[in-house]
Amino acid sequence: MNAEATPSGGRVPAPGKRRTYELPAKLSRPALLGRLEEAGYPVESSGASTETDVYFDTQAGHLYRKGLRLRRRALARGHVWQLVGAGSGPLESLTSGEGFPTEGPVHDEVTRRTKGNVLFAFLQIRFRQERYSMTGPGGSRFDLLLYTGLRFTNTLSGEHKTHPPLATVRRMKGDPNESEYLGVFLRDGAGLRRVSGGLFPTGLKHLSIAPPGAPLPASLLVRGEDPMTVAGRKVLAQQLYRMRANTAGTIEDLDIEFLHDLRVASRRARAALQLFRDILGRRRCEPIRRELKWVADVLGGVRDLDVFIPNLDTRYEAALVNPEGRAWITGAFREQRKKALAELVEALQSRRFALLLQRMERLAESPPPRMPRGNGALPSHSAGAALVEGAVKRVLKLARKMGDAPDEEGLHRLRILFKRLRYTAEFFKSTLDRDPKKELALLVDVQDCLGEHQDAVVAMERLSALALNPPGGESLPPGLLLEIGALIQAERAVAQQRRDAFDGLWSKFRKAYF
Amino acid sequence: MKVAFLSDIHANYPALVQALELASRLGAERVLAAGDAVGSGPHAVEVIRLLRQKGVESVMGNVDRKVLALLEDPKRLRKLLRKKHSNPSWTASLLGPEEHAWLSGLPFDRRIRLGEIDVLVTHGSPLGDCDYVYPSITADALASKLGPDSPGLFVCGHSHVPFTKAVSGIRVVNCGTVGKPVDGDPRGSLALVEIEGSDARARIHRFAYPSEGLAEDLRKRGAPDDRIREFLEGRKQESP
Repeated sequence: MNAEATPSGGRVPAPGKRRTYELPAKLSRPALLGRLEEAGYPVESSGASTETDVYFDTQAGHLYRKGLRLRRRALARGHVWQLVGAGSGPLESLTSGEGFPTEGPVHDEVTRRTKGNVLFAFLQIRFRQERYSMTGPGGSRFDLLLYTGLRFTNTLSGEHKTHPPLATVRRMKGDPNESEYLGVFLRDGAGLRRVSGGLFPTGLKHLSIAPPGAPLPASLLVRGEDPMTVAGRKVLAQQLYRMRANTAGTIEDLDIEFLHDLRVASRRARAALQLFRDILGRRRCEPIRRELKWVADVLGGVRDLDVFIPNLDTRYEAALVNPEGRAWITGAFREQRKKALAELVEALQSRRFALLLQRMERLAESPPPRMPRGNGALPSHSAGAALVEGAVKRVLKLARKMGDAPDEEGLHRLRILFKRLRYTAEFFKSTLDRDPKKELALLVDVQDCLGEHQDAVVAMERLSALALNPPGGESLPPGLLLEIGALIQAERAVAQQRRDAFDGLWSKFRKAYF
Repeated sequence: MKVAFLSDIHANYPALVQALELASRLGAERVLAAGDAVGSGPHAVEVIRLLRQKGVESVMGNVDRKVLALLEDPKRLRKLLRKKHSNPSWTASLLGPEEHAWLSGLPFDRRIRLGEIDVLVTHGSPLGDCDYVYPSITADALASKLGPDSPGLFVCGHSHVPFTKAVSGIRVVNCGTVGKPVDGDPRGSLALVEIEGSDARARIHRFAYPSEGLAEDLRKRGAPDDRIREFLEGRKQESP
């Protein structure tokens, strides 16, 4: 029990945690107060106000994952920013405008924790808050907050919904058991429903928004005892959950990580449909896989540029490109990204995409067959381990076959097989005794090296295409062409460097494994 | 005049809430309880507070007596709490001075007059709070339990088996149990007695109550699965 010492040496219980309850439709606010009075909890009002809170976090949920909430509350004289959960009380900073504080405790702590990642609004909550204090029959003191006129808004999509009134209760003083007694009265005596968390999680749930960082709900984790028919459905549901969690942020282009995570989830969904095709049914999997390929292509058009454009800065340094050249080249690629993003947004807002998500949902939520075929009835602990082992063997078999001087086609196939292994291991991670990536650590280095080589090759093609087909159709001035040529040269050097490094890594890998 | 009789609440708060609501809906002007307000269930404090708040006139049951004995012997209570966590000792450890005072103020029985009828309310029988009165009770057995000063209406509990029957001109009512049925029907029971002059008509009412919270609280307070099933299924679990 949390407790603090009294001057006399006794122990005084620390205030309890705030508990949140939803009022049933048939119980009005005055009726609740009346029931409390009747049950021996006389209430005393200590004020009321109408508030608008906006909750912020990063795409990866740097704050949410650590149990923190960053909220901005509008005041008559400006805004107060509060970081809740970082210590005994919230950290606070006042700002005159809506912008994030540029200094002060909230700025310092949030910047430290989010490592400079982009912060944006996830959820807006409007409510009227009535504050009460009450004393229970056992002499304990409680703080009661009633939230009425609740309206939750998804700040990314603009969707909003009203919500039945909520009440939160916190024991401020007295026996901790008194919180239990009051809880039992509120639940069984007054008919209130306990909800987990406070306003923020309630709002996320009410609007069906994934929390910042989209942590997987426990219900979607594959457990060792799950039969493969269930595991396949859960893995697909996981990818669908992540795709949905990252769609609005991608459309709004708030952080490139939304797009990246959406792409990763769509790729994994394709891999899952391939891996579980016999369990989930080929006829149901194939059309979804085709549509996911379409999504992956439109996402890839933007994502490749998201990787390429920031890389340009280091290449400019290497190729000594002049400032005018830098501005023009970066501008041209930014324009390309803008066009690709417009196509992507159109795709993500299309009926085709909505139908794809619906089909995925239907398949993920379909009841598993009572008499599954093949290994569908096996527990995922053993069947998953066998699949991972099979994928490891396929990678090693191909690597052995490729010999000392692998050709381009061999390397391409190796990348595909290795990616399948990674996804398979990822799908069954929660059921495996060990992570096969540790066994294949050297191959991970090989794969990373190959990836960087591939990026440099694609960059050369992209730069050549810009030089040959500049925007507007007019030929480029010779100075600019020379600058682009220098950049291609820099990319070529990177490709060569990666290729040299690859040869060393490959021989190290073969020595270690064969 | 309508009077509701309850018994054997066994610290089941949601069941008591439903019982009192039903009594009110049935038009009961008075509510009496035939003992064992606490024990077995997780809501001893909540139940006592509600009974006090609603002015339910109660008598002491055998489990109430056990808990009270522990409250009055703190040394033994501390020892028991250290050694094993039995339900009576755990219940006693929760009760504050007000609940203690309420328990110690409970009479063994209540003899009241309703209309023209003399009523005896006790937990088991006048022979003791562990004595059972079942539906099979005969006139002789009843006479030996009640003695020469027999009432017109005899109300008891303890067996958790509700029934009402007239035996040798005496209306016998066992209220069954509000909180812990044993007959395979998980609903609670109460008796509603309608009195007109010297005539007493009794009827047993069964009522359902939301038991999810009860199960959650039992689990939270470390009750074994068997005990939880007993509450939820309304039957005694067989020992393995």
